[in-house]
Amino acid sequence: MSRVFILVAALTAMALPALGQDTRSYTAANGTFEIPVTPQRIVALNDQIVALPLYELGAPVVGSAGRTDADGNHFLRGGMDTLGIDYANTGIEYVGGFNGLDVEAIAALQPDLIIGGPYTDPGVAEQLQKIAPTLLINNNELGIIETMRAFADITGKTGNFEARLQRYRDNVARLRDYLGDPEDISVGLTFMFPEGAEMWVYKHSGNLGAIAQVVTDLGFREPAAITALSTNETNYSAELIQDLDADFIFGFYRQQPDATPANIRAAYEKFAPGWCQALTACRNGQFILLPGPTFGPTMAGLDLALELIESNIAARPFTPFAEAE
Amino acid sequence: MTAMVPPRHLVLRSPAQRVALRLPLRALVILALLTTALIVLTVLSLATGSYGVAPGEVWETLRGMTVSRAIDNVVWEFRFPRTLAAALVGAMMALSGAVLQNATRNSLADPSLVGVSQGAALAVVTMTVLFPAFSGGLRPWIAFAGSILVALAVRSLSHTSQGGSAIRFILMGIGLSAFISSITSALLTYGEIDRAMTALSWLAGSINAASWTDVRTLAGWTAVLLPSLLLTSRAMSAMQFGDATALGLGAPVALTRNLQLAIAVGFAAIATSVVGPLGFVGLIAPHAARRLAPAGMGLHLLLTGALGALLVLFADLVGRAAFAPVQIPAGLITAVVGVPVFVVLLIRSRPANAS
Repeated sequence: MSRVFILVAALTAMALPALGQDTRSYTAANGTFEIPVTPQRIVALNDQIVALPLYELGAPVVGSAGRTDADGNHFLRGGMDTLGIDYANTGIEYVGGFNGLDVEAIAALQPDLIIGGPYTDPGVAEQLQKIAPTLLINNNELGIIETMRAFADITGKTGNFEARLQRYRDNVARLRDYLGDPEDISVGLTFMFPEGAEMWVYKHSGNLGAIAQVVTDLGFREPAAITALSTNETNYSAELIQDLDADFIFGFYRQQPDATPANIRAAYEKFAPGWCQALTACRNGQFILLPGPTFGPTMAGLDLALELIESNIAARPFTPFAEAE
Repeated sequence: MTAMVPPRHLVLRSPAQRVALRLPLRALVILALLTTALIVLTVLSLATGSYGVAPGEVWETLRGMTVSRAIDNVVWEFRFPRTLAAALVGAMMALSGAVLQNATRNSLADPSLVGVSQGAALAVVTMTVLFPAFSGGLRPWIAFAGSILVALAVRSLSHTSQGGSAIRFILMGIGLSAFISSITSALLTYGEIDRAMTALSWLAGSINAASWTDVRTLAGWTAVLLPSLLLTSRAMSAMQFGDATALGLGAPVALTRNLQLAIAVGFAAIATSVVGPLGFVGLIAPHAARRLAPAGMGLHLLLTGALGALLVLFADLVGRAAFAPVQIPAGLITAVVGVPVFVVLLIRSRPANAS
């Protein structure tokens, strides 16, 4: 009898959020929808871009798309590095890859809100509307801050977000004071895979998450060769690597077993032999490798990127790079 | 109605004997078995998935009773359209391959040969990578337009003042397809990674977003194209012996070939526009049908369609259920499952051919 009572109580508790929720209108990239004022069961259609910032805000994420490693284990990309979370130590369920979602697994979680983005298959998003309102938030257009603000608004966590953002802004202002004239310091952003097959170069306005946001907020100057690029991110030629020279170059790498700092430096050498001699920033110890969490789109990522820039650039002597006129 | 039945064949004649069909029994039996397998697999597909639904609940839902709104959604909105779309797409790709092999008299012909898959791929990847805001609901139409444009380009470029030749058509198709594929690869390599990943998912041939609108599109076009194809099957049979013989037998070779190519492109373009390029089905299914049961062209087309439907339905079921919630695109499974089966069929048929 008591078991039946517990079962009924549990089912009622699960059903209550869906039954008694107040709703409001919200306009996302894919239209205007009625969403719960305080969502109780959210499914994120991307781990790094959606699940991590939502979890950080304290939103109730019950499911998320994720990645699968070579051993078949699922993980939240950047989760352990940035927030110390993964499927194993949270109540978040794996619902497929962001480009291979299992709609039935999502339905089984009985979400009251689903959040995706421009990477979500429009056909799948249409199917998911039958389960719960599915909002596509265009993080590429909004940028990292406005995307997080949108998540905070959707989940009723605006107060929490604005407080953390204000603290970040205060820290940016403090660091700008330490730096003196950051507009006179040029900073390049590169990304290297451990295989060393290709190198990506990002504009400060590019989609490199927290670090690009921090570099922009601090007001660093962009090297002319990067400003001249036609797209925000470019697969760059090894023969032109000297054009990327700047006062400082931040070389990012994704945290994965084979992507140690030593391996990444070796990958640069494989990609462009003699690269370090070709770049004054590298010759003078002003090429700085930064790990994955600094480009995660979270407040923790912003704070970490800011701290790393402070410790690597502020109040240290450096050899300026004289860009050719 | 039935008269003079030769051994191992069923002969059907219309009352005025204007139409006579001589059907090999083995092929009929195989067709019946394939149809039964299709029904069984459809039932299995409706009963299998990540959302726990008991077979009884599936049956009640199919009878129109609402067990729960969630189960209604799972069965009617997710599993049923997906199952039907998989079968229809498989049949269409297989038929496209069979027709192309007949029209070009090349046993390696399939939809990718005439640029249909590559045209669709380039159109969709271009929109996804360069204009992501426009690539949503318009995707099937964009894919269809890409397929048709490339097929027309191959057709017109291979046409000379002396008319078209099958070899010229094939070579032009291979060349243009390779050129288009290189542009697609460049877009995937240099485009933003998330957009490229989204495009790659579609390129792998995934049926996970199939809706009733897709099913209606696929079924409607199959209802138009399949009868048209069967009407040309007699001329197609004659064309198997070469154009000169076919002309001698009174077959309208030029008209039939143009019609065949149009139907083949139509089948592949519609199927590709809905689920993306599905490799190997158009190549494997016609060969497998031929080896399972030699038959006349009409029955061969039906066998091929049934085999294609079975292959893609199986691939989709395995891809979505075997490692759930990991979703493996049907296109990958058709390659992994289809190619070994194809090789086994070829090996098993070798002694029979030698004798």
